Parts: sequence; C-alpha cells; structure tokens
Amino acid sequence: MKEKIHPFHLGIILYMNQVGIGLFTMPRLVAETYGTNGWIALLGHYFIAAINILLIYLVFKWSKGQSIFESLEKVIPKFLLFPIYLFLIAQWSFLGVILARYYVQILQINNFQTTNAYPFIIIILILTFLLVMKGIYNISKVTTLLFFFVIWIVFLGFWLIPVWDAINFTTFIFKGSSENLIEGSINLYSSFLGYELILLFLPYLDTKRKNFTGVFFGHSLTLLIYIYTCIMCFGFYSFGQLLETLYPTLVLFEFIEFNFIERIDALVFPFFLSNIIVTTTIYFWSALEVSSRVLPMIKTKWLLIFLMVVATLATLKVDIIRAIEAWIYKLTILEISVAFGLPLLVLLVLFVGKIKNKKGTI
Amino acid sequence: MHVFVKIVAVIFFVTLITGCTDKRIIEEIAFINLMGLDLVNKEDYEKNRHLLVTASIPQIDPAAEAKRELIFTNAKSDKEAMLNLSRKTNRTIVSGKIKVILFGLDLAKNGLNENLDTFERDPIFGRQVKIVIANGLAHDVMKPEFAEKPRPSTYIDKLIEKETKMNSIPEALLFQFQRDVADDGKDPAAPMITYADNEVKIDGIALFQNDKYITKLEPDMSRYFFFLNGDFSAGAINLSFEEKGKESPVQFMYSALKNSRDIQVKVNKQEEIDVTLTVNIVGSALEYNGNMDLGKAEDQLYLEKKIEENIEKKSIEIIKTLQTNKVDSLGLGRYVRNKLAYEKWKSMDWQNEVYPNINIHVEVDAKIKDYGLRT
Repeated sequence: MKEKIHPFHLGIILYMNQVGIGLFTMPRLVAETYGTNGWIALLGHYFIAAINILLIYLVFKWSKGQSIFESLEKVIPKFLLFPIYLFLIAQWSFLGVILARYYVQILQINNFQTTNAYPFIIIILILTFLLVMKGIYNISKVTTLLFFFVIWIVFLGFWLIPVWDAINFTTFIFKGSSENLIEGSINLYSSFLGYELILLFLPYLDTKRKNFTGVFFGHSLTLLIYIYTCIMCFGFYSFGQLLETLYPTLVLFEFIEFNFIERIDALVFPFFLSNIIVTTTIYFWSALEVSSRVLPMIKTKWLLIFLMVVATLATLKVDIIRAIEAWIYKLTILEISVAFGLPLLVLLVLFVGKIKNKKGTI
Repeated sequence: MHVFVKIVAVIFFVTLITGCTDKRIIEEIAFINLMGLDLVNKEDYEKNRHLLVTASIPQIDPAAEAKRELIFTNAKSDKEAMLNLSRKTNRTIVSGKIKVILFGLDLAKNGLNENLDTFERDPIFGRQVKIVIANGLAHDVMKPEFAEKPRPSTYIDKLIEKETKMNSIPEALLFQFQRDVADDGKDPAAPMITYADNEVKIDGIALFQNDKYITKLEPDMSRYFFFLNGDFSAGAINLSFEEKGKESPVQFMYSALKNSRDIQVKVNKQEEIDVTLTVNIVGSALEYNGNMDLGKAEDQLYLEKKIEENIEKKSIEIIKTLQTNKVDSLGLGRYVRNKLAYEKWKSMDWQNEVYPNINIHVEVDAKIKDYGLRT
C-alpha cells in the first residue's frame, strides 16, 4: 500500500500553498478595499474559504477517500469530462508559471534588477520538476522542511516593536476605502486559494485519520500569519502611508537593521522562494494528475515537461508587473469558480450515483 | 539520487552563480554618504525645477589627499543629478549607502513631497535614511572640511544619531517623516543643523505642516518639546529660576531624566475639544547653587514644585508656538481623531481651523530621584 499523507503535513502543505506573494501586498490591499482596520475583514475571507473546505470534506466523506476523477467518470461519460479536464490542466499550469513569474518580478525590484528573468524562472521550474516527479508523499515531507526554513521570519517582527504604535490603527472601522470592493476582495481572496487542490489529495489520505483537522490547522495558521502581518503593518504605518506603499510587508523588513547586516529585505524575500516552489509544485502536480487521466499512456515525466514548456511559452509575453497582475486577477476568478464548482459537481455526481445504486438494488 | 540532495545541490549552485551577474566591485564604486538638495533660485525652480544637488563621497584612494570627494550639479531631480554627477568622478556613483539627506531651508519651505517621493519609490534607498534640514543652504553645511573632525558626512550622521539618543532632536528617518506627512493627525518634525562660526552644529527642531517647513524651535526649547512628545529616558536639562535672597537666577541641573507622557482628550456637548498632556518626570539633582538644602525632604518638595512650574511655563510657550503656526508636531490630532466619529473628523479642518483654537493644558509632575553623593 502507498504511504499516506499525515494530517500535520497536509496542514503545512495547505499553509505553504496559501501563503505567498499575497502576503507582501495584503496590508495595503485590505486598507484599500475595506479602509481603516480592514484586517478584520480577513476573518470573513477565512470563513468563506472554510465553508468551501467543508464542501471538500463532504466529498471526502461521501466518496470514502476515492479519487474525484473516479467518482466523476463513474457517472459522466469521459468525452464530456475531457473539456473540464483540459481546462483544469491549463488553469493550474498557468497559475503555477504565473505565480513563479510574479515572484521573480518582485524579487528583481530589489535584487538583480538588470539580469534576465528567465534563469530564475527556469531554476524554479527545475526545482518544481524534481519535486513533482517524487510524488505527493515526498512533496509533503519536503514542504514541511521548507516550512521550517521560512517560518522564523515571523520573529523578525519583534524588532519593529519600538516603532510600532497602536495609535496608527485609529478607532475607525472600515472607513476611507479607496478601491473597488469586489475587485479588492477577489484579489485578497487569492491569498486564501490553494485549499481547492485538497480535492486531488483525497486518495492519498488515510480515511482513519483526522485529515481535516490538519486542513483546518493549516487554514487557521494562514489566517494567523495574515492577521499578524496586517497588525504589524497597521501599527507601523500611518493609514495614509499604508495606502501609498506598494509592498508594505517588504518595506517593513527594510526597516529592520542589525549591527552586522542592513537591508534584510533583500535577504528575506528570497527565502519566500520556498513558498513559491511549494505553490508551483502543487499546481503542477495537480495539473499532472489531471493530465494522466487524459493521456494515461504517456510517461508522467514527459507530460510534466510538456506542461511546463507550453505554460512558459504561452506566458512569454507576460513579463511586466501590470500584465502579470492582470493575469493573476483573471486566473483568480477562474480558480474561485473551480474551488466552489468542482466539489459541488463531485457532490452532485456522488448523489446521483447513490440514487442510481439504490434504484439498482430495488 | 535522493530528491533532497538534488535540491540542496541546485540551491548551492544557484547561490554560487549569483556572483556572476550584476557585479559591483567596491573600489570602483562611489558610495554617496550624504546628499544635499537646495533650491537656489525660486524663479528658476518654478520654471525649470532646477535644484542644486551636492554629494559627499568618501575617498578611499590612498593617493588622494582629501578625506572625501564633494561634487555638485544643477539638476531637475536627484535621479538626473546622479547622471550629471557621474560625469564628475572616475568611479560609478551609487546612492544605496546614503545615510543623511540634507534639505536646504528654501526647498523645505517649498515642500519636500516631490523629492521624498523618488527616495521612497527607489528601492535602493533604505527607510532608515535620516532627513535633516539645513538652516540655510545644504551645500554650505556640507562644504567645510575640518581637520580635527571626521569627514563631514560621518560627522553629521553621528552628530544627529547621538543627539537623537539624548532626546534633544527628534528622529526623522525617511519612513517616519513620510508616516507623519501621510497622517492627517500629525505633522512631521526634523532636526535642523547649521554652519556658523566655523562650526557645524545642531540648530533646533524644524517644524513642518505636512511637507512644508513652517518654523523652528530653538535648541534650548527642544528639551521641553520632548517632555511633551512622548516617553523617553536619557538626557538632562538645565533650569534657572529666581530664588529669594539670591541676586542672580539659581541654576539647577536635572539629569538622568525618565519621562512618561499621557494625553487625555475630552469633547463636550458643544463639541469643544479639550486636551490635557500629563507629563511625569523623574530625574537626579546633580547641580544646584541656591539656598535650599537638597538633603531635606521639604526643600526637595519645594524644588520639585519649582521644576514643575518652570517646565509647565516653557511647555505652554511651545504649545502656543505650535498652535499659532498651525503645526501639529506633537500629533494631538491622532488622539482627537480617536475621540470623534469618522464623518465628524473628516468634515473638520483640523490643521487650520480646529487645532489652533483648542484648549491644551499641561500638567507636570516632577520628582527628584536622588541628589548625588553630597548631603
């Protein structure tokens, strides 16, 4: 029998998949979207995502840990499923590549400004390739390792305490927002996305274990880190300044100075490569899982290389921050639809399957 | 090969090849330490945006006699200045090590937002860059070189750093300055320096309304400003007051100060705003040439009363200056804002109409912690 993912690892995968570049823009985005003390609204996002995770939990319960593809293929003919499969492959491959590009783009604001971006992207893709090929069980172990590789950064926040002032929070709640509420919320929700891929993990979970305790642990850890970051920023910046700062979390690190090192922002951001590698890995792994359904006869190694090359070539022209952000926004909308639509579809199929079974027994 | 070994190998390889691109060789780089921006001719500035940009670069070539290279140019922005300055030195100019940005008085009066914007946008500048205002031209402050002092850039940087620690000038790092400019309940304040009598020295506190310089506090008043500004520990103050039986004012040295400040805002039904600043100070009495006996408790109480009166008087003087000049350098607006509804706060003109007319009280409580080693 294949080794199963431990609930703790599952939680860490979810956390690493959710927390990424969004963390760096989030404090400004919540201020723009919801106004003063907008970080409170993150709780709302958390609960919406939690409801979505409950749907996935239901799928897990009803299907008894069966792969969603098997559930779907039992009821829906394969040729009808193909378009959905192709869409999912494209969506997840693009997300994987675009997020890596976004990371490199921001990295280059501070480091290696004039170097070509491709060496960085290719390195991320090579690491991703190596990880994906080792399978989900090993990915989960490596992810846990990478988690401890970056989580210490949280403690750097303590150096900001002398300049942190609660008066900057103001007593106003949700006042003075400047962004479109819907657009802003969608952008913010992208920082919680990543949980939808748990749907594909179902066959790799041990049905006897409390897997979804792990999932909620990861999801809550994400919220905790987001709220911590926002509280740091809201007390550090004045509200007006927060609205003007493009990457508030990054600038926060600029302020920390040690006797032996200055400008640790240039050092901290590269550490987040771990999060990006995990995110890209999970998206490509998911795309690969679907691809193996469509083309089971081709070796996964070649399939993965094919996906990576196509996704990279297709996004070749997406090389400025404006274009990348526009892509991410569109992909986020699609991903939210997938996150809610796919489990609902599977639930429907399982329901239909049950009715059929009952009829069959009568 | 195990996947983990492969990953470590790739990371190791990647770390090494980073040295192959975007190279910077330290001997070939001119690190600007101190940068001065001046508005020399107002008409010219309004028409052409011409600024006098002065850069002080440490000289590391052993063949050169001077400790630093001072180069300057006329340019429309600090970015254009970099290109111009580059033509005046054999090294590649970089601005990532700027510690202090010195703004001339006229430029400060005109507003600093436009210039600060580029410093904020460019990631090369750290947020810990110090903002300092020169009383006069920044260029004039930067020009003199003193044989008995370190190179001017280091001297100014360390001078500001030390005085900030002693709480005689406010800390105005780029980030803090911008925070206060962007805050509708606080105005920024920055240290001011001057070149006079063949010396470069601290010249009080420059007070701003948003990004525009309005007025300054003299150095002898800066300490009182700090009592009102917030909590601190360190620093000393010399008080002088009249005493019976003494012809000249008595000198009293109040040192090793520990200050805590509290702000209370009351808004009554007529929407009148009343602000009370409570200042608690504890310090040592290290110098006193009056008739009281420092060893006696009742005399200490008398002196404490004197200190309180003295500090209250000076504090009220400062607050009057701030209110008449419409500069909220103490950030009282932030405390008032917290007492009001959002719509009310947004509908009023805090800076120009409300702040100059509110009642501000100061209550000082001073304690003599000890009185040295003599009875």
